[in-house]
Amino acid sequence: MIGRKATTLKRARWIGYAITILAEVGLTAMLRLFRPDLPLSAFLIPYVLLIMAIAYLYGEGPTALALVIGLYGFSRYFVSPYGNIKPLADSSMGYARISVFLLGTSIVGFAAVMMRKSRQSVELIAEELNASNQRLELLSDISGKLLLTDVPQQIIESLCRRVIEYLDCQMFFNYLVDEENQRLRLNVCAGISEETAKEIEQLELGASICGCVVQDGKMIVIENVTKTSDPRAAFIKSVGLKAYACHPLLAPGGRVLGTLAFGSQSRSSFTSDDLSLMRTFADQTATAMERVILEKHRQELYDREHHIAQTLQRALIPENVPNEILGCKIAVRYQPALREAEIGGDFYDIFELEDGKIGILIGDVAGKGLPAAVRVAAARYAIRSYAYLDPSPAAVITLTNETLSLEQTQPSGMLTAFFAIMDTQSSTMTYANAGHEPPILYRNDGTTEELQPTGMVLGVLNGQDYSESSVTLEPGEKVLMMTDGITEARQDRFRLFGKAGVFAYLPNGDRSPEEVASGLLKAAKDYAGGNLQDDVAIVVFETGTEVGIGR
Amino acid sequence: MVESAWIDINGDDKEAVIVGGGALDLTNSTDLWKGLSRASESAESVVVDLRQAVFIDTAVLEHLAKAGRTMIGRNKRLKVLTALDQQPLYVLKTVGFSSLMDIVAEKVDFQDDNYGPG
Repeated sequence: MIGRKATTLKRARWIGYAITILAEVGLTAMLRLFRPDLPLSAFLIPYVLLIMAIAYLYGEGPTALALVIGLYGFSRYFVSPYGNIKPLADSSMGYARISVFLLGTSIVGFAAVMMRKSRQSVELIAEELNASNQRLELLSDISGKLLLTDVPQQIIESLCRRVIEYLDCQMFFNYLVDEENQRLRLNVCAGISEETAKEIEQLELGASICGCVVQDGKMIVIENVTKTSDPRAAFIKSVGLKAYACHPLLAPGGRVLGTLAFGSQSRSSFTSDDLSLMRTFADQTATAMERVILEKHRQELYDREHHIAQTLQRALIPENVPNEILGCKIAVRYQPALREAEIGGDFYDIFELEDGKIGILIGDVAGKGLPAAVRVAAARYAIRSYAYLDPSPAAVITLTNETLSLEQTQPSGMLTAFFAIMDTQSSTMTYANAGHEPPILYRNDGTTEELQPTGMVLGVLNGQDYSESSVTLEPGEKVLMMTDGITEARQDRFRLFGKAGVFAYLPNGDRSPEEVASGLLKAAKDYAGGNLQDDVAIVVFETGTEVGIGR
Repeated sequence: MVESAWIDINGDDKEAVIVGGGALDLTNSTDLWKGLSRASESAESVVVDLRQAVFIDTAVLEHLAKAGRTMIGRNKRLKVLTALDQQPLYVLKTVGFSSLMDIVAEKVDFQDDNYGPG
């Protein structure tokens, strides 16, 4: 818009020059030929009026020219002693009066020029500001809509309609690259009939204007379409376009996603601001489309990994743990984190060994997702395998640490594990605790003991010797094992449920393992406002009345 | 009120001091890891000052474990300062990191009593 205004002003100025020359030559000629008898003052007044009119109508340049020609005319034909008109000394006006007239002419002319110039500047600045605001408002609105949408292809049409209205265009064409067929497919267009649109529904890459734009990744602008000899412009000529600009939809990585073209039947050219607006719009559209494509890919990858990890975790977390093994009662709970739909690293396992023994395992792998699930698999099956070979928790944990430390992952892939072997004949629980949250032994008399760590977390440093400890359990006594999802349940960033929360919950009467597991999970969830940020595993073990028969 | 988390990395190639405070977890411990990673590979001594930290999660433990292992590989020891009676000390002791690094606990007066293990 501003560019067109400037062009018009430039044209007017040239017209002003021509009129100035013609008018003053004509006036001087008339003075010389037809009215040599009149006093000079009678001709100076039309000169002054002429210059003022030129100043008002055409501005600075023509006015200056008018003054020069006027001065030259006077000196050549009226005031020069060598001219055909009678010398100044003989005229009815003296040098002084002519000088006053000329000076007055100049002042009036320049004053008019300055006023004119000042007004034009203010008008031009106001127009520029207004146009700039409109352009920014349009782009801002477009940008906002593109940011919010998940399907930019569907809103391109409405956005293009706003752009063509602003640019005084009548047509737009949006093509998208069909990767599969290596062609361009018309997404949306306006200004042509449906039949015509069908004719151009698909384009070859590198053939038409849009095809060349996609191939080269550069915009093509054709102005004065009626005069162009470019064979690619046949179609735009046929639909009566006078100016046409086609921009590539360039994704941030440089990939061309399609084209966005605008055509005008009323204008034969575009200004640099027009082209800049089109390019910005095309770039924003391409960015929005690329964002959606990347988001879709990311979601697909995430879904795939999530599915694999879920499948893996279902295989790793035993679904049907018996409520009772060798007379001992067992309750388990597992709850994945709600904060993010990722698979956590908590795990547990309960299995029967020979000679009336039960293996009990609970652990937590650092990290989430597929890598954590793989680590859980390695740890759980290593522990189970070693336990069958050597039912000593210290030996099992030491061997497992060697295995996991040698298989380094990024980051360290460390994990905590509490592994106990309950001998139902001697009623003795022997355990090794590799950096796991200490389980709580809840005695029948209401006292508690914590089964403290006997070594470092697994998978960090090889060559570690893990020790084991033993506790004797009376019938009905419980061991509560949990992961840090319980103790680190948070009300906010600083208030933790903690061990204090667990101990506060425990002495609430004589409850079954199932009631303890459910109750503790509920207490932690209630503390955290209903949602646990981390995944949680709980195992509650209660010795049966028949244990200890071998003592 | 305690800020939610902050990390400062000071010192030079000889003696690096990495200070972490507030609640440090997976979401805000990237800088801690960057500082630890560089320092543990080159500095003569590395001190991780967690005396103003009230919570660390397994992501932070992993960073410490890796740095501790790197330091041991260089025949040096990572030093970690913590506050008494706060979750970081409890966690570091539970996971048995005292065999991987030197853990020094001090009594620290916090301005706000409304945080820490419940």
